[in-house]
Amino acid sequence: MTTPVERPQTWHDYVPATATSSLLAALTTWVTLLAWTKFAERPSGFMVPILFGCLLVAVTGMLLRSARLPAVLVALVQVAVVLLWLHHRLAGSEALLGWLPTPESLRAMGDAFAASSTAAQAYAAPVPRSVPEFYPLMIIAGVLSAVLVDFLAVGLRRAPLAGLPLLALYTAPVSILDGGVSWLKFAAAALCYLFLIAAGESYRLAHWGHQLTAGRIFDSQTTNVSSQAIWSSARKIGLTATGLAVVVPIFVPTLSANLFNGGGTGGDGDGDSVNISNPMVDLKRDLTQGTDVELVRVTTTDPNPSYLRLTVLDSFDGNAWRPSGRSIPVKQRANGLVPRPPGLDASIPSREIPSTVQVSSFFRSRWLPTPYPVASIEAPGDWRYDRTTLDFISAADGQTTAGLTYRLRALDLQPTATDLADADPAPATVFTPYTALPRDLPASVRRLAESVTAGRASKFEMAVALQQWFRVDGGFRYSLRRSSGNGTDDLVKFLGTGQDSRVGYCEQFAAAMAVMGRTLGIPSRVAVGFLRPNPVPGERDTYVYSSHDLHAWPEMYFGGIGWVRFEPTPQSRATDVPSYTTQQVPQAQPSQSTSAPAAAPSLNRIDRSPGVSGSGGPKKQTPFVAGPAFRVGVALLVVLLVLLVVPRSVRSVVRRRRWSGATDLPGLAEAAWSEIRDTALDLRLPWDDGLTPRASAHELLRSFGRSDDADSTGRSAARGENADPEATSALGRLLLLLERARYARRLPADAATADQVREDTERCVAAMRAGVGQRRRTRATWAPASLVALSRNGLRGGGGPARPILSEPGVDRAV
Amino acid sequence: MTSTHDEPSGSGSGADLDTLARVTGRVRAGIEKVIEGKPEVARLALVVLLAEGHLLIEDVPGVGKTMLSKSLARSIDCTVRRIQFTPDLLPSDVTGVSVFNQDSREFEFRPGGIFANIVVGDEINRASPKTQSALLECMEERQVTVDGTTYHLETPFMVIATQNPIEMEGTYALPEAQRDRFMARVSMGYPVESAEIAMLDSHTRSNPLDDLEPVTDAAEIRKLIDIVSEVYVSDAVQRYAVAIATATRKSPELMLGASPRATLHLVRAAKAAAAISGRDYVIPDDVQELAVQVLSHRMLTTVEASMSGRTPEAALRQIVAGVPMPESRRAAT
Repeated sequence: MTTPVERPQTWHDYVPATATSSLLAALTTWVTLLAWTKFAERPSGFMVPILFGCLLVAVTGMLLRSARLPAVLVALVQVAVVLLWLHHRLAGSEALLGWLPTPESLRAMGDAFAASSTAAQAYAAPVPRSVPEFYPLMIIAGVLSAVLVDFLAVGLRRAPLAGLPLLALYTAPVSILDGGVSWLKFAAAALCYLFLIAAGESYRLAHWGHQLTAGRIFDSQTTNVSSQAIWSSARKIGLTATGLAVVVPIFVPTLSANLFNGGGTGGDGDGDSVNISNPMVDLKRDLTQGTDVELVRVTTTDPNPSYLRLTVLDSFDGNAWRPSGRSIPVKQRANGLVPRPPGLDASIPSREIPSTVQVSSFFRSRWLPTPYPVASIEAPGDWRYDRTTLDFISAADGQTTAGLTYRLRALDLQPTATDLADADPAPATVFTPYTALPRDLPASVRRLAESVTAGRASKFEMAVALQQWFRVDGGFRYSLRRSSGNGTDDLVKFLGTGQDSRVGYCEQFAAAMAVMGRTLGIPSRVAVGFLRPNPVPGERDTYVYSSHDLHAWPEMYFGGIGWVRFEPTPQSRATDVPSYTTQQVPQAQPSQSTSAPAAAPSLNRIDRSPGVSGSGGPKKQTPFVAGPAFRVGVALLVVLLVLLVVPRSVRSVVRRRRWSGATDLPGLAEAAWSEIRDTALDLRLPWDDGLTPRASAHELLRSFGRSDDADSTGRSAARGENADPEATSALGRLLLLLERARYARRLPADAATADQVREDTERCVAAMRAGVGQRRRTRATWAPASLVALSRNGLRGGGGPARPILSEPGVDRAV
Repeated sequence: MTSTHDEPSGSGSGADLDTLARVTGRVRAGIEKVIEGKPEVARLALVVLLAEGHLLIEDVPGVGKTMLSKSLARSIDCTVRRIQFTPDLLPSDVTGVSVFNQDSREFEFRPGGIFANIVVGDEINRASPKTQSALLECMEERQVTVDGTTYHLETPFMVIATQNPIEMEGTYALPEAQRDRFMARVSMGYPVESAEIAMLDSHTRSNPLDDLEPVTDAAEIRKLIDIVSEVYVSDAVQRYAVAIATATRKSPELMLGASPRATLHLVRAAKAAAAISGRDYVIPDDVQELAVQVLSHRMLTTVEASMSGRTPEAALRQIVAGVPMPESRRAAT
């Protein structure tokens, strides 16, 4: 692990080389850490100390390396220096002379880190200004990563390896804070990293091969020359790669929602929208947090208040459930009536229940906790609702629910199982987006969902079967000792039967049921909010939702009723389920019920949902696509045939135009030569445009064959200038004609006739074709390679011949 | 088409080119009788003669450098002088000296060794740089100035100098200015085995040089030189030659590239080569073929390139391979 020693080095020529790398490593780390700024409302609180810490690491590293200490030792001393500095910073007042650790100062330092850790657990990003206790953890994490990067990039001279910790630093906020990190920060970090690699590599290059010079030492002048060429290439490649990395995602459809923020989808009003961060990430932390903190207090006349909803995750991209872009024009302010929930018919009995919601000052959310659905609301500040999800979002920067009190009238719906089983199919505007699944979702999920719901006739009964399966039949266990995650991989594991499978908490239950619902064609989404509250002893009509009540559950859509809640999380956590899921669904055709299993009393109901037949699944659509498929097939075949014929036709057009365009003898000579060249390219014979005509002809003669001399592959047995003497002399005549046309003072008009030239060309072409096998001849006919060269020359504006790349000055030196 | 003799262009110069081919064929045959197995060296010597240049033959001792120069001189019926360059040779020994004639009581000029059609300068790099410098004016301007009087040299005038590689003992490097005045440098190289055996056979019985009869004379050579000067160099080929010269100046491996005089020499040599091949026009192949022999002795590689073992010849070959071909007009596609 020590620094590889290549040659005796003086202090002078050692330090500057690593100084650049050291400073670059520190800078790269810091610039990458800029991605962390969203962790706190006042990022300068830790970013400035981290900058100082990075410089401290760099300078310490430079000094120690100039003393030629082993890389590991350098890193250890750097860690010690960093700790000493932090000790001074955090517990300087307790320390001896401000620096020397004492038991008191060490305890103070430990306390500072403990407080920082508690703050990090207690607050969701961004951590407010009022909590500076949060910073030490960030500072030490940032500066220690600078030590790691410095160790890898400078100590071990493995700059590319330093990319791993840098990537980790960068991805932490990217995965936690939805809405990502600004592309500018990414580009800056990427460029710094590329410079770091380039500096490391050019150092290696410059110090490469010294052992071979037998005592002579290159001065830096000579070695710099060779790295210059690489620098310029590296710059081009690096800038292009970074540019592409920034620009390409804009055109990748899956990411467009994040980049364009979904602002334009709403249409009317000012159309501004907000970035939604993923509440799932905070969910588990709040659930596992040691103390149960009161977050929301509701005063309501409802004797049995239900769940409170924060937001809805309606988009599943395979990695996670996320809220899609919300459209919240200014007229959708949360002060007054709220539109009826989508899909709700007037026939469904409902009543309005007035409530007052008081949010504690600890709870900083950008969504209003509300029951679903809400009929009207009066919330102070700029809160707006989204028409499709009916969740309420802060429309003002920095506005959260902390300390907020607002009044609302909740709509208490009482659908029955019959209503739900008889529900209309979802309209396409709901069905399409809410049944969308990533393409790579394993088919096993759908098969599992089908087997769990086998025999259930209506969508609603399927949903109930799923809920029952998750809560009871499936053998699932509720446990918070599971890493968070609701992507495809997590779900496949969660639904599997292996070790650690079927264990999870509300996040996995809700996500899994929603995904399975979607595979069955039931519009589904995941809601995040609070479980049923606890009544406050001694206070009438007052209930409390605490941090341990945070919860996630699926919502499914049924035409005529709208979105209704299900509860797949097992009883150990969620004690009761919605009443409609426990009611018996009456059977439409009782005569047939006797043949159905008891567990599926409504087996033979006719399902009115679109696209899916009772048990046949999606196969029903096959007849609709058969007609178009045939037509598409025929069209494809025609296109294929046309594509097959096009190169051959273009080639013959080129040939005809070439001859017809040649009016004088020099033109004929050039046309003949171009034809020979193109034929050589078509037949994949060696042809170098950098050679003189004479040298090309000489090269070409080796491939000449005779057509009546073919072996089993169709290739002439004898090849070379003696294979077909007439063709050889024809090529000689064409070459002479070309040379005289190009280089002689004048070309007499009687030097050759047009017929002679064409005849000679045809003879040469025949000899060239005879010199290769039948396969190459066929390929030359159907896929003439000369067209590629033609288009390239065309792009270059018909410029000069190709230039062998290896002859570029400097190339072989670089090689 | 594999022969070196191409079909003439059919213009009025066809007869002239035939004469040229006949004469040069005879001279080459004569030289090849003496120097076995080196036809390309004989050809280059003729190219330089017809292009009115000077030839530098560089190789280790004993491979026939002097023999080549003498056989070329002997094949042509013209005045030939031989100067053996030694460390104590004085400039006046080369150019000539004015001496006071007691009888006429006037200074009169005694021409030095340079006054001849063909001057064989043997072991030129054994003379001091001062003496070598005496050759500068004669070689470039074909005249000698002594004591303020300028004496013109007769055409044809050709210096054939031989030298040992500079690593050999007792040698001085030729100054760049003088190297630049030689049109081409050629290395004899060791003969192949069969040629060496043939050489033993012929050279042990008698000296073949003694049997060599002149096959042409100075007047005819002058005519041939005129024919060569008529050879046409197209715009494209001129651009090609300049492109090669420019590339040598830009090459990072070469400290000193080709001078404009070198470009001129390259084109003139290419004209002579074209004429010997029976053409009254130059093709790029002529330039390519001669580029290394005409340019390499003028180049200086950078320290870096020479330390990595690159010779000017190798650098030049790479440059020539990389310069795009000239095309007088774009093919009608």
